[in-house]
Amino acid sequence: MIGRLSIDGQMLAVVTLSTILLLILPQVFEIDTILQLTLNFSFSILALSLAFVWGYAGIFSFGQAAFFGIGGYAYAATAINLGDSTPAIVAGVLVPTLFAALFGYFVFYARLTKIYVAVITLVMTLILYKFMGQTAKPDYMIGNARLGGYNGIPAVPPINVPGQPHLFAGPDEMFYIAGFSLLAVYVLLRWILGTRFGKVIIGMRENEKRMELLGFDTRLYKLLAFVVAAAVAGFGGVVFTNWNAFIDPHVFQLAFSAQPIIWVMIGGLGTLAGPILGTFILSTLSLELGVQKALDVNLLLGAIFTFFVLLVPQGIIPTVRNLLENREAAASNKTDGTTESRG
Amino acid sequence: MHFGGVKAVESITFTLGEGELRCLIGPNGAGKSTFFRCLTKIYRPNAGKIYFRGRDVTSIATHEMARLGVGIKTQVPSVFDGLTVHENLTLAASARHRGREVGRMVDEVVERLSLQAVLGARLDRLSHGERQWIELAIVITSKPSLILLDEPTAGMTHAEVEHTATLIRELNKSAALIVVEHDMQFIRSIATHVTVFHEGRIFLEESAEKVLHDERVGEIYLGKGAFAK
Repeated sequence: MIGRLSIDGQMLAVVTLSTILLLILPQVFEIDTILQLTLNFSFSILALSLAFVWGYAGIFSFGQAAFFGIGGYAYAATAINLGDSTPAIVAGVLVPTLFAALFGYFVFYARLTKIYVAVITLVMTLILYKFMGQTAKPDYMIGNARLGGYNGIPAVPPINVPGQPHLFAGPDEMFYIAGFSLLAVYVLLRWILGTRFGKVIIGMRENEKRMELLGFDTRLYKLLAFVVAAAVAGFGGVVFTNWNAFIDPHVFQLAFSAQPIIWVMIGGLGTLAGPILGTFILSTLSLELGVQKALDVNLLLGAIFTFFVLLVPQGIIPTVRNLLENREAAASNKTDGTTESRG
Repeated sequence: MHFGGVKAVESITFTLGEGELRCLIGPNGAGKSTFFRCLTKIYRPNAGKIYFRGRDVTSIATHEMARLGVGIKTQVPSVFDGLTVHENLTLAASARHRGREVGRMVDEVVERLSLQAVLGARLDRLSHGERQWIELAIVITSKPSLILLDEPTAGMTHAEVEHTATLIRELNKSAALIVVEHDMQFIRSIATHVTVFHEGRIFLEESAEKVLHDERVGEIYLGKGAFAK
């Protein structure tokens, strides 16, 4: 379905419920749960970026985590140099956006097919991993920020009240910032999907050739969707770096790049709520299993992924929605049948 | 136009007047669909020139050709399968229109093709004939000035074929059309002029009556000696 957003009832309910939850949760949970939820929020923003570019525009970007990492590094370097988080947040979104615009121009205007887009975005991420890993020498500095190779950039300044670096966010404030950021990104993407641009990218996912035959320059629309997704992923990286107060090249690793793909697939491709759900389930599960050390985390995650690919290929949200629709249709047919037989 | 060593279309000189309706016939593999793909720039010809309203359009892209006003209904319906009929038409209308005009255009086409009953249905749940009809609606919604129809009646019922013939005649009041068809009765009902394709070349260009009674055309379709029997 093509998404629509005028601020409709459903959206209003989502916003209201989410706001209430965000305000209540810190009063209910201990600090470790709050920190875990904050991490989940930042990962969910990354998942939403992939959900948008892959689930709606039909572009399988295997390297979506690259923009997340670039956003994180850009935030860290700017915050260390300027000592204020406001321009650092702008840089954390702007740098991956510009990088995606340049990279995407060559990818989409060269009319690379889907499989090559997936491969080249993955290769880009792995190149960034290698490059950032070899920046341990003191020569690799951005102003006062030392990139630090595989050790990364430590002691990244947290988000502060604009112009007042001494008034910075603690874990509770960071929870609210991350939570409301996720909500804002969700509303923004829902809004975009309801615009003409959103409808065009969905059309492109469904039938790119027909879109061209109607007069749409699909190269341009793909590039725009890719750039929007990169900006969102970069913002996720900013939130993540704030949560961690640290960023290192592991965000460019193959294992990290694969994670959002699994979150999106399990939650449900072609939805926005599904990938958030998938992120929360898998990220929390990874943490719990890691703490208990009873089972190998990767082994169990692999098994869950295989289970979903084979038995629930559409993911949680679309499967539940189909079940409900089918039940509704069956009930409606039953009612019609009863009415007819009575008639 | 050739693919490796295979020449699909060769040495074609084809002119269509403003507002003209022309039928293309020819056996399978004659080059009709390839010719359409060259006109819509899905394929770029290896040699030769294509002009549209006096402008050389040989090297422009598919979407630019569409923006100039060339619309196509392909042989296998090219629609948005995961979307509803209404969403399909909205997308098509938004290619040329903005704001309220989009809704107005959709309503007009829905009314014209009587699509009210299937408006909320997803395309992948419709029959082949219905999908053909919706693709036709998509093309009409984008308001082209040259409409290419590749086997528009394939898979349609007799009533739908008649309806399509009426629609084509109506569309011809505001647009030029080239129609690829095999149904001779249908061709007779819509066209005055017919171009016959054979082995990638134009074999004959004549009035519909002459072409449909030409023995050589029958031989192209049915094989040599078919008419003698």
